[in-house]
Amino acid sequence: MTTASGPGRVAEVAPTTVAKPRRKSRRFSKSKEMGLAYLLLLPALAVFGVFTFFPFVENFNLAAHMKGPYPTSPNPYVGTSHFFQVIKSSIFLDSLRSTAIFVAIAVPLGLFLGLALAVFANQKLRGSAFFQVVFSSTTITSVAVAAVVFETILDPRSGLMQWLGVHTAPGIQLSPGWALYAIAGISAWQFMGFSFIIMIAGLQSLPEEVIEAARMDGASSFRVFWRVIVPLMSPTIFFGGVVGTIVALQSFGAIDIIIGNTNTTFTRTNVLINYIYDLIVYDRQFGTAACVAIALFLITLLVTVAQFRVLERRVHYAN
Amino acid sequence: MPTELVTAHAPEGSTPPGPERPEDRAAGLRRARVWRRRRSKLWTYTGLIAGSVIVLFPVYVLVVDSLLQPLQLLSDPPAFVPTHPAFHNFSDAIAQYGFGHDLINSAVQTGIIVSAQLVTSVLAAYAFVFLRFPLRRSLFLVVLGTIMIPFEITVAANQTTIVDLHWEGTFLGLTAPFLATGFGIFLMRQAFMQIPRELREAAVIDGYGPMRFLWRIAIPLARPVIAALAVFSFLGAWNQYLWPAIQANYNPGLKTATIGIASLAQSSATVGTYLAASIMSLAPLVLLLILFRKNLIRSLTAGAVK
Amino acid sequence: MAQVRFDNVTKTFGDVRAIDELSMTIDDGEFLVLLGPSGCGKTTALRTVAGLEEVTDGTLYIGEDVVNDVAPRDRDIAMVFQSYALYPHLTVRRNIEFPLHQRGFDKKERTRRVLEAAATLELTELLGRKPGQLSGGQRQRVALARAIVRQPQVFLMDEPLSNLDALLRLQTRADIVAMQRRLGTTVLYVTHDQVEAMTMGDRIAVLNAGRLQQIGPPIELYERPVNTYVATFLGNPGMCLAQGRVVAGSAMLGDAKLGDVGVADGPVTIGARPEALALSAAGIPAKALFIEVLGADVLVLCELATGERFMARQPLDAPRPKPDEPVHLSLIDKPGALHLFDVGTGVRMEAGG
Repeated sequence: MTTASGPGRVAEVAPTTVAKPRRKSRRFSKSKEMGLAYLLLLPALAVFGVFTFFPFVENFNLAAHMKGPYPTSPNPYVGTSHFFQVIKSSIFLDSLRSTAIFVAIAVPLGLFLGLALAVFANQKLRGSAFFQVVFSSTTITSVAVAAVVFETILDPRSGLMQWLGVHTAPGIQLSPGWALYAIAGISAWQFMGFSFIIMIAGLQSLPEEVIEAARMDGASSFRVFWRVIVPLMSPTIFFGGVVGTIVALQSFGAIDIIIGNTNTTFTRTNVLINYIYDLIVYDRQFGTAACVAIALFLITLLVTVAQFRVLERRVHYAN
Repeated sequence: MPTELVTAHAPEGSTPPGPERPEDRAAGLRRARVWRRRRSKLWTYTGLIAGSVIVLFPVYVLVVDSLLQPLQLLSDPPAFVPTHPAFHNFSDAIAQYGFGHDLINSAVQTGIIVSAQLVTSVLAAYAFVFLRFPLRRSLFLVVLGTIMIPFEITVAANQTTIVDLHWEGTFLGLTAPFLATGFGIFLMRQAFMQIPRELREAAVIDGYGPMRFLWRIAIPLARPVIAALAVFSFLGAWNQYLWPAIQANYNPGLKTATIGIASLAQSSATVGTYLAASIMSLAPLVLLLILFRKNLIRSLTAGAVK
Repeated sequence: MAQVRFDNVTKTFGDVRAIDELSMTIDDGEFLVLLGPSGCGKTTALRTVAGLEEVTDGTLYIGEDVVNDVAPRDRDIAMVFQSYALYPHLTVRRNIEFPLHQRGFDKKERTRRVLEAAATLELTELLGRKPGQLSGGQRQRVALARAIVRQPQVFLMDEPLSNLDALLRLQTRADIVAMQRRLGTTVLYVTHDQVEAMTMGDRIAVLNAGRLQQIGPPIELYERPVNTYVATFLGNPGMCLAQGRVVAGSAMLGDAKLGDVGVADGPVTIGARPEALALSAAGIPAKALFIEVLGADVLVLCELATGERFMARQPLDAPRPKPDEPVHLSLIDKPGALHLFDVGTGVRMEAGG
């Protein structure tokens, strides 16, 4: 064995070539690899199975029955008629209307504010890092906190709105029209943080040369914004829109907190997800809740697909 | 007077007749450019300040009003400076209304969810990236599919499941649906895919089995992403509302901080008290945001901007 | 014994035969270069020896043992990857130490080996650094150190020099060869660079589409290539080919006679290396296209009437043609200047000239 020799090395050389068992282990066999893989996947898949896929399917099962509120109530099978019954009910339709208004206000507003702030904060000015932290901070606010704070601001008793020159009727909770818009505004405020983050990232990935070229061509900043930046940012805006809509359709806490469930106006301002909550917690009508959930899911799907179809055509991908 | 002298001096205030001198033109342009830049800077700062006001005004109200004495809240014009900081708002929330208990509940709930999500995501992503097994691609699509399924459609059935298992109103019931996340697996998979294949092969030749490789090489190399995932999980878990609200109905002692704030707001507690509670519940998140700002932005946008 | 033997080894990926019935023996202590273009199977062959790819058919031996089913860690081999595959979060010292953890060496022994390997590759001052702080050449040395620290029977190297700049490549080439001579380990070295192959290998094995074309000492492959593929692959620049005929025992290119050959009449592929061709007054008519002055030599690229191209080497002081100038090429009078290959198969025909 001709390895490099040196004092004390010969002793090791011999054992490594002779005494070591050669066929010790097969290559890591296929079945062992497979077994390990499934083992590693087991926890995640188990959770998904029980709490994501099963409920998804079971939801349809629930929707097809009309179980009474008590554990011992009868559970008759009603099939799809239940679903159609529910979506024709006035409560549902009111909810639908509220949801639509809510989403239509909150999402675009949040996107626009996020983009505007991102454009400002992206300029290389002193202290822009500070502003970036500030603007992204609304992402950490929980629904509860945001709701509570805005409730305080909007409460006429605190006098803040008067001070700003806005007059609100006493008890904003009691004026259903305003309540929904106010809550949409609050959600936009919250969404603004996330929107800001993705917009800033999007802005930073824009090809600088294009924007510079536009500037050199003599376009004013305003023009540059609308004609160049917005189209270039359209993939990001689109992404934000899709995510924002999905989140908005599921946003629950604000209404629950601000409106509470002690007012008749509640059902008027109720969005679909709150309706589901009520059905589960107060009425224990799991079947009806399931029906509304299906409806909401279908709406989400429809809106997302519609966004893809209609808007993606307008999206300019840089490459 | 000789005519030359008369014409040599142009009357004051008027430009010399004939074409502009090049130096003047350049100076004029430079002035214009400086003005333009100043003006745009002005716009930008205005925008930034306006934006900050929008974002920070509620925060300001939050902080200030939490420190106002109860009567000051109703004053007109509204009080903007806490002249007699009402620190008792904070202690009231904890002592009188049991908010401290809510905070602890949140901590436990979030701790469980974050740890569970990290473990399940890392293990599953490792399997997807470094191991070969049948159905690998389909199972990954399944995982991606879970991201698509919105929570509201699983709420009803999940609730019945939890009740059937007699987990309602327990920490188990509170956290069980969230112990794994498709988003987390996706994120970790991206991170692991950045590890060059040759590194794995070198480790194989050096005698390292898959588990040792995971622990000694893959996880250390993916540390930034793991941190980002932890932060996201934390944010998501801490700020949850719908599910904890449902569970709290079965067991009010299980209220998390977010629910606690809501119940405070609907109880007899003063505005100051529940705003103080809000601040206390925001505190850990603010800390996270400050510490992990860059990481957050980078990881969130890794998938967004294509 | 650290002999490596391929016995009819085949490796398929789905329908693709990456290695096709490869048989060859690498002797103990030999430096064998696996040469070929991308996709020829040389890296796959290397990886089967490493155990990173499973052999589909045939038998692979390391020493006396059949290693088809033996895990890589038990084959007593070390591999140097093209991108070095250093662990970025570990220091140089721990990178080199890494392979020793699983072998049951105690701490003292591990440290000794690491220091020894570091000294051999002049890395002793860099032990505390991380790969990110090293230059390309230094990283390469770390990869080599990691390979030698276990004193394996076989080194496997996958194009280790391709990421280095030209000057560093030259130096490192010599260092690797010197190191191997000193350690006496068997080396399997994969490259697509035929200059590396010619200068480093005891023998070269040329592969094409998974099949072994020729194996032998560099000069043998150069002077007696077994087919057109090997002939054009080796040499810088490679051999030039043109279609000619053998008429009455003479090799003819157009109307020019190149020499007498003991081959049957018929169409034939004629090959000649640039150093075997010279510009002359008479001979093969051609048009000079491009003149490259390479310092010590001048290479003249010429186009024949048929459009095929030959290159001729001129000494520096000889008169140079201008582009598009008509010239004549002739073979210099030396044995082995003329090569004949079968038109259909490209296989070498034994010529007399």
